Amino acid sequence: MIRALRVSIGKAMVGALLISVAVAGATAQARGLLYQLPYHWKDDRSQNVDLADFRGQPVVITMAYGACRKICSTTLRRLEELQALADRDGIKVNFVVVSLDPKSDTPEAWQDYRKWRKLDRDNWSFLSGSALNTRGLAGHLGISYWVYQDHVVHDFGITLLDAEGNIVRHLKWADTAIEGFLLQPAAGHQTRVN
Amino acid sequence: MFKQTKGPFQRGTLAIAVACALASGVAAAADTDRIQELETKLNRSMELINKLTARLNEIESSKQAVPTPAAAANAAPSAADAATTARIDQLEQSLLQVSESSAKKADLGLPLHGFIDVGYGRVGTEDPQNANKNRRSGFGLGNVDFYLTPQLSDRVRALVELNFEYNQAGDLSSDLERMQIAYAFSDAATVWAGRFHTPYGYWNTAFHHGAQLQTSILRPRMIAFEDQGGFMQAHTVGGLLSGSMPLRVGKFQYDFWVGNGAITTDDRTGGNGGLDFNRVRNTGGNMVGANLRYAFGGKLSGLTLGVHGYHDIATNLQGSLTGAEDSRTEINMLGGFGAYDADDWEIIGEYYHFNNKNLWVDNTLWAAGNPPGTHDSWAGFLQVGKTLHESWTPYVRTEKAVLNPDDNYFASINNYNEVQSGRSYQRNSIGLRYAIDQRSAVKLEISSTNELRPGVATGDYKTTDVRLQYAIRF
Repeated sequence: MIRALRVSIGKAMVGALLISVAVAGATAQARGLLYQLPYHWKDDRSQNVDLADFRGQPVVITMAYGACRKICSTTLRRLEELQALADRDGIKVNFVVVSLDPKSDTPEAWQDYRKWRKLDRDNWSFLSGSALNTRGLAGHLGISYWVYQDHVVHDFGITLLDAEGNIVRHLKWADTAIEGFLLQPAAGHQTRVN
Repeated sequence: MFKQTKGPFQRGTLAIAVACALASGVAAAADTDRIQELETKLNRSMELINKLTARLNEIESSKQAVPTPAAAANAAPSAADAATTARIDQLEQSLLQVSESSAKKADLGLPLHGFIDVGYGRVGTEDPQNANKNRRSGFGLGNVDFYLTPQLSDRVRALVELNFEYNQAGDLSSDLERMQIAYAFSDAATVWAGRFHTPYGYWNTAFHHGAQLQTSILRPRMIAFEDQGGFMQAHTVGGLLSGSMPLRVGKFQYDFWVGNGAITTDDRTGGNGGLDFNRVRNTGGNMVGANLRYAFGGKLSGLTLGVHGYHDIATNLQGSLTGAEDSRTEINMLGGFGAYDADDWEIIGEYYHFNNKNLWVDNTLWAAGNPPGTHDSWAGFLQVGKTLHESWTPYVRTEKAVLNPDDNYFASINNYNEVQSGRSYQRNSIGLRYAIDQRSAVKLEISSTNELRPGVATGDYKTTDVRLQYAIRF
């Protein structure tokens, strides 16, 4: 009897879990889905990192690569502007840059990149993962990219996650007004992934 | 995995969930009704969990008063818990894989990318020799460039670039610009075979056919594509060994290639002055070349410096590609290049020095003044661009080629598509690129070209171009 009940509870939990993920997926905003994905990364200190490790604080996440001097330069500039806004308004936020060219952006290469760019604050992380994980994350963040022989041709995209990894909003190329980007929405309100 | 699912409840739940997850991946725009339905189901599930948990607690508390056969009773729930936990983990993993697959949906099939550009041009020419001034203008279709990279495996790679363009005469031409297959032993060594961009300098392998990628409208004339006035093979049919080796700061990169040498259809003997490299020849020799460069890291990140060179035995044919050979020229090119690609600055410079030798000429050319001998020539360009406010990039470029008219190779490619490829020239360009967004740009370019005509005392042939281009990538 107890066994049967436990099995039933298990089944129901499985159902609930699956439905909750499905709900998250259906709204395409993935209530914490980004933090549930089985993607694994290595940061510029060669530490293994999961996105869920950033749970507890909002995260500004983007994808870029070290050798890019076009779109990624704009991306980095926007991130620095957002950091300045966060400092001004006393908002604690993590900045996560995930490589679009993981073969080249080794932890050592990211370290050099940080030094050169003077991005040495502790709340900034530069990650690289497998090609599969990179493609998967790019898909979830809505960042299109393709490899043109030696170059990665890619879109601009910066995404704000809340403390639980929910996507709050995106910053696009044309969005030059970033004043309110870091503001958290009222409870229950979320923005759709494009 | 699905075969292991035992109960109808599990199958049903899994089917609903997977279907929902799949649907979610496909439809980025959420269906409000479906969401509400799913949320209702979720609430029902939670209610069921709460009821079942309450019932379980109730039974367990009553059981505490009634001892049960310990071994059997404890073993069974424990095994069931473990199985359920494993099952949950497995299903969770499956769902995440479904989600991942959904995220990767763009990778299914063969992705098609490329570039398109259209434009307007106004070209003024001044020909002192014929006391003639001419002016043409009009809208033009640039290129439609399709880029395909089939994902075969980690080691086997392929690349196809198919280009359609209208020339100034209004004829549509298609070119299999690149068709290359590779086997990658490692990042340090990849062997390519097929038709590829000859890896001299920086530009030819940085921008390829992507008009939207390059800052300017026109490529420097000396490295223009063969059918647009370039006097070097922008493409090679053959084999290429490439590699990249990271060093502590920066990386060393190399290319070694071997391919079909140049065949020119001699302009002086009725040919069109074209440069061909696709054919398998029974004369001349293969082209061999190397490009060695160092991409700096750290504070000098964005700076690339390199040397390049190639050797070829070019065959000049009379009249057409089936014509008789009228001369043969040994081409020896050695040069260097540098590029600085910073956040706001783009500086590209390339230098080519030729020490070519007329190996053999027929009697006609000998009589015309192109006897055997060695001749020096050189060509180079420098382009500087500065990006302002992230979207505006004004740029300037100066280029010059001093080509010895006694060199049979340059002398034979004098008049292809109205472009005197093999003649000395100087061109200065100024332009402005505006990035509309990350995928499109509008450019305006003005260039002035002075072309030296050997033996003509009346002055240089002058061209002034004003071009407007709208270029996108997809």
